[in-house]
Amino acid sequence: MSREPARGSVEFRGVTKEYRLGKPRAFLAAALPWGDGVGRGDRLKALDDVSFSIEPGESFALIGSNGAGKSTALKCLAGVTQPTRGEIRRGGRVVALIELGIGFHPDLTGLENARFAATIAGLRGAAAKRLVEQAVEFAEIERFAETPVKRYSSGMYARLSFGIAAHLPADILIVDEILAVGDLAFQRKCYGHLASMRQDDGVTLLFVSHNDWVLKETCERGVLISHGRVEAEGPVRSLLDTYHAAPEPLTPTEQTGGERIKVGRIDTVPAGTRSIGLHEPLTLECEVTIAPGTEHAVIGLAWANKDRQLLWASYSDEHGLELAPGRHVVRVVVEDVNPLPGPNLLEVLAFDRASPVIEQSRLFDITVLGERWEAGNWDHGLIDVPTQWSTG
Amino acid sequence: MNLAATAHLLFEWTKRDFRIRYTQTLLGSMWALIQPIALTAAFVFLFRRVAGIDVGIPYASFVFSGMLVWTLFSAGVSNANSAMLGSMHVAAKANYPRVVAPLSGALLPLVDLAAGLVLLPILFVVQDPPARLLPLQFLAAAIGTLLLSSGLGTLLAALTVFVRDIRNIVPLAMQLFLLVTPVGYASPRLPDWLRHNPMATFVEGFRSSVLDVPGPPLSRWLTAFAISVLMFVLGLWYFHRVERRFPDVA
Repeated sequence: MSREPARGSVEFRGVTKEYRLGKPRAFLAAALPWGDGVGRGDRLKALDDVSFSIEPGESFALIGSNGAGKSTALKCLAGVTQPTRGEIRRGGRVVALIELGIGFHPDLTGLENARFAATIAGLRGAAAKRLVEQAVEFAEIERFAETPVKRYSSGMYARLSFGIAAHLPADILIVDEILAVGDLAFQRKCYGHLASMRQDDGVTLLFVSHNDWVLKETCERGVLISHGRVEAEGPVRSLLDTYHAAPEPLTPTEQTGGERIKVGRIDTVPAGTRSIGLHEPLTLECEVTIAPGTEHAVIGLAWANKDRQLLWASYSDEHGLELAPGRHVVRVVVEDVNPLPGPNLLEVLAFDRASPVIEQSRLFDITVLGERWEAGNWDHGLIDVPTQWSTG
Repeated sequence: MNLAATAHLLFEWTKRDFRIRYTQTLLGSMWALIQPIALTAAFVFLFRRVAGIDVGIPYASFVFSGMLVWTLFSAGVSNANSAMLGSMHVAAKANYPRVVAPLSGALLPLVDLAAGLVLLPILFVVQDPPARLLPLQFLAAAIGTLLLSSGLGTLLAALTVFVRDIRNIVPLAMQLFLLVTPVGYASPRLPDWLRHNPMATFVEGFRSSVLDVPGPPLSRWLTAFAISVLMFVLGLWYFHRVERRFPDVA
């Protein structure tokens, strides 16, 4: 009774993907030609009963933090791996821009690699020839078409692979964080091309990105995935608000490398603050015990955003604080907290300049409060800098 | 992907493998000839000079004609075996008939066979053995060998993805297998049960299609083909059953 799904539509019906947790010889279950290939033992559900559907010609976003299951969902959709349970219905050809340059052989020329990619996609004759021409032209590498790709710059390599993937005949196109490559002008060109594929050929686009701006700019609807489950489905803006409002818990973790510097209690002043307004000062205090014989103890503070991109770091010795062996309460004042509003990840680390070992590293989270810029959806980068605009 | 597109992919894949194999080599496709020549020379020294085996006809012609079909088999199996792991970077990301990798690995040594067939008449002119040509038997031996090598190779290629030990076993097994295959001697020297080794039949069948020496009887041809077809079906079946799990394991 299953009708052919409409061209360009996607439907996930209760899709579950299980992996077995790494036991020695877990691979033997997969080698057996019967069973589900996972085997007995502890299983990890990378996807847990995931259901959603995408209409033909839609531009759809898959939102979630690292490890939430986005990539697994995409691999299942692309047919590269099979769900353990559940069903995926796809209307037509799925092309995945999952990883750039797949199948490129370094010794073969750009032209040969493009031809081979066309062949893997099942193209022959005139269609393959046209794809190769379009890809080489789009990538602007005509001069280097006869050069082995191992001599390409990484930008040329990325441009060629995008050029190929974006010209394959597709009804559904998966775009997984690929546009972080190449220069800005080429990125714009890629987005323009994707938009025209959707408008002119009715191609369904499925986006995965950690860049809010990209998602808002390109998608209307999507799903929020968390721990392998669909947490919410709906308009991208409200999904992103949900995603940022209820972030993955950034549990404080501790990591000890050495014994010479110990970091005790860390807290804000006043104690217990877990949020701070944009452009307000933040004061932190930590107890530090430095063993005798430590020549040049340093305490550092590193500030990263939720995606663990480092925004800045500051080290005590570079700001004139000498720490002799003994017990101290170290205080650091961040005079202007300027990361964009949202959860942030801070790291306090301790080390001896004379040694390569990080003695201690402590992570905790602080939320920056403030209005999130919405107007026009243009990318705001990573930090907020007060600016003055006027006409003169 | 339909059958025509798959066949096209198989052809292109083999062409690419061939191209890659000889990039940045000085001797290029000459390498296709060096292995059978070197092994033949070693056999001539070992069996003829040291052990004094007499096969009744010029020995180098006898060994080289058998070595050609043996190389088709052994190179095919080892190419196919490593082909799947070698193409995992593509297989884990794209969707296409993955079986083309081991199959093209098994087909690639056909190039070496073709090169060897150019050399064979030259050797015959030099040594003047009792040469002849039975085209059908010649084809039967080559096709049987390909069925066996691609079936076994595809099976091993899939197993290797899960159990990497196979990678270490195959070269050793091939060396031992060569010793019990009548490449350097005639099969009457083998115990009965070893003569049912299908490669014994194909090597002797191939040799007796170009040289006037006794070939295998029909019963051995039938056994050899039955084993090869069975191996081919088993290899493709197993590969088909487990290929979807490759990206989860590799």
